[in-house]
Amino acid sequence: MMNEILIIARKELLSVVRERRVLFTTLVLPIVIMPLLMFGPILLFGNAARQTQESVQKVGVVGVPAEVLEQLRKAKVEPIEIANPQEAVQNREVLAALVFEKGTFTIYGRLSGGATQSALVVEKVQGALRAYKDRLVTQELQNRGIGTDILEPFRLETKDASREQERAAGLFAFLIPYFLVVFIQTGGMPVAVDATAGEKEKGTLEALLAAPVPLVQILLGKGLAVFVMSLLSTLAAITGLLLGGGVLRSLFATQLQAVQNGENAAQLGGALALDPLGYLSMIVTAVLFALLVIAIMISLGLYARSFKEAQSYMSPLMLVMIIPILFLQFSDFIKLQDWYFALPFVGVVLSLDAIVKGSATATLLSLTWVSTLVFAGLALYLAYRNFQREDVVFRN
Amino acid sequence: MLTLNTTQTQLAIEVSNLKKVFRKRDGLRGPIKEEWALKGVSFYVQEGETYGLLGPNGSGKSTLIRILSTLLTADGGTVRMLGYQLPEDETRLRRKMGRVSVDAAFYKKLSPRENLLYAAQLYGLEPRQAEKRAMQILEQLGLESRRFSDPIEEMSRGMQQKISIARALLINPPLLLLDEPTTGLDPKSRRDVQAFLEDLRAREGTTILLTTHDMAEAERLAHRIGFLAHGRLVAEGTAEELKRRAGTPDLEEAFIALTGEELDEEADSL
Repeated sequence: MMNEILIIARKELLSVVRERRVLFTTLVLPIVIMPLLMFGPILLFGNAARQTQESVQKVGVVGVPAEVLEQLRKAKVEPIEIANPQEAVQNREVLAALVFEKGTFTIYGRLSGGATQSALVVEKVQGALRAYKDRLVTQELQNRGIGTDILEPFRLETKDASREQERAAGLFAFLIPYFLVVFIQTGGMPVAVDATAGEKEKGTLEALLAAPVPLVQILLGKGLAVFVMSLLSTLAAITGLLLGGGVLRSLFATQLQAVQNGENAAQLGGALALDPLGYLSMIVTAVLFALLVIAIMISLGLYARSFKEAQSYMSPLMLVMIIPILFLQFSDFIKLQDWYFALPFVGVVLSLDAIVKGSATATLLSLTWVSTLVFAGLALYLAYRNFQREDVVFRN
Repeated sequence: MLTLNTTQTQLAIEVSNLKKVFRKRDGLRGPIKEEWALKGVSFYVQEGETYGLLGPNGSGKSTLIRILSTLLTADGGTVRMLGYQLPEDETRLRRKMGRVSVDAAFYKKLSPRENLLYAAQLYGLEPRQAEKRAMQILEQLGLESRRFSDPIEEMSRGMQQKISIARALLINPPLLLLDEPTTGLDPKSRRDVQAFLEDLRAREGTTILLTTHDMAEAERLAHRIGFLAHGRLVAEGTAEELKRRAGTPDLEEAFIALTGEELDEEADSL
């Protein structure tokens, strides 16, 4: 029995090896692209932000006192007189504008749409005004013979109490489940499509089904090939992330440190600090999840009449899987119930997140593993039933 | 005229009152429509005999071949081949049957060698022995051995169909099901395939069930011919008997006269 399964799996993998484009996109591209995807934006934004801090920008001013203008110059902004601050900022004549009217300073900036250069300049202006305010307060206290200690009756410190694993993972805490889910599907999809709808479209499925091999072995052979590609692709992505991340961190150590204002580079992640049991748990979760996804993909692929139809069925699957990951970002605000860990996809994402953060428990992991195995079994049975149905296999 | 050695009286194929219906729902909630592809077909093929099935598109030829090759399950009637009953003995029967379909379906990125070895392994053949046999067949069919390792996608339709025949013959089957094996081939490839089949029959005594659109091919290869129309076997006999019955000088006219249909060159869809 095993022999036929291996023969079929070997042929499916050989077909992939011959498709160099598929091989490149599933195995090579993740290694190259993952470090860039992870650290590229951080480095790019970090450098741009640093340059904005260090260089001088124009800021429109209306009615601003001379002392404040001097403070702005010290903060590396060049004040220029303007007539309409809102318009000047909107038309990008200046990156920010400052208006002083009736004892109130109003700062104008383009603050919608996330991290903008204007927002950074607004911060510079705010900093300059804070410094000016502190100077005025200090001066007034001194005039009245009061020490500045009164302004700080106690010290305030914040300490990161998250687990070592969570701190080391940094951004990974969210991204590892995401990438595992994405690469398990994208890595296996080309083989899943080719081995099911592809065989139908090429007409080779009939020859295969007419061979003296039981359907269940054909199904398992195809499943094994998809499984191997899924895991290889995921492995390539993680290798890219860890090795590439390491290389980038050493090459751009200064820049990364500057981005984080001199704090430990581990904040950015890329340094999984799991014990062997943690790694094993992650592998088991990923493997079980891969089984579920593969069984669903094969079932969908068998139902489809062509490559295109199979792809159109499988693409929404990615969205379905990503939704729990998006919610994961807000998991801190949700009171997690144990049964969430038994839900398809959701359980896997929650468990991976818990493993990466070092908060996984044996009960919750078991709940996810058993439920995922049951769902995978059901999906595999559905695929087998599809394989048995004439109206599905000969659907055209 | 082709004649069969009458000492061979064993039946290789016995089909009795074979029926097949395809059901399809009309829209999402509409009624289920039934389309009868075979409405009670009966015929037999003796061991060593070549039986030709002629029919226009939608006559049920491909459905019949698919049922005999165990891909579809009949909705009525019985099929007995080489002493085995369908569907009960389908796994054993699969080891004794070769099938060539009209579209020469292959894994196009793989070479003929890889495609044939894959098929051979699925049938439990030893790879070296399978490769040797495949080479012999391909050489007999006129395929140059140096092309044995080229990707199939770089080969002509004729070459691909020859490889398809080689694949069906790897297990040296006593029964061969050929679904329009020469459709779309150039005249040279068509002659090569026909000559090979004649030679195979003479050497191995292989029983062949052949569907075709080509009247000349049917006359050349088939001992007996059946006319299939609208899922029924309308007439059956040797080419001479059919022409005589229809009172026409050639087989095509006999077909038109006996079935009221015309043959076309397109592939069969049912």
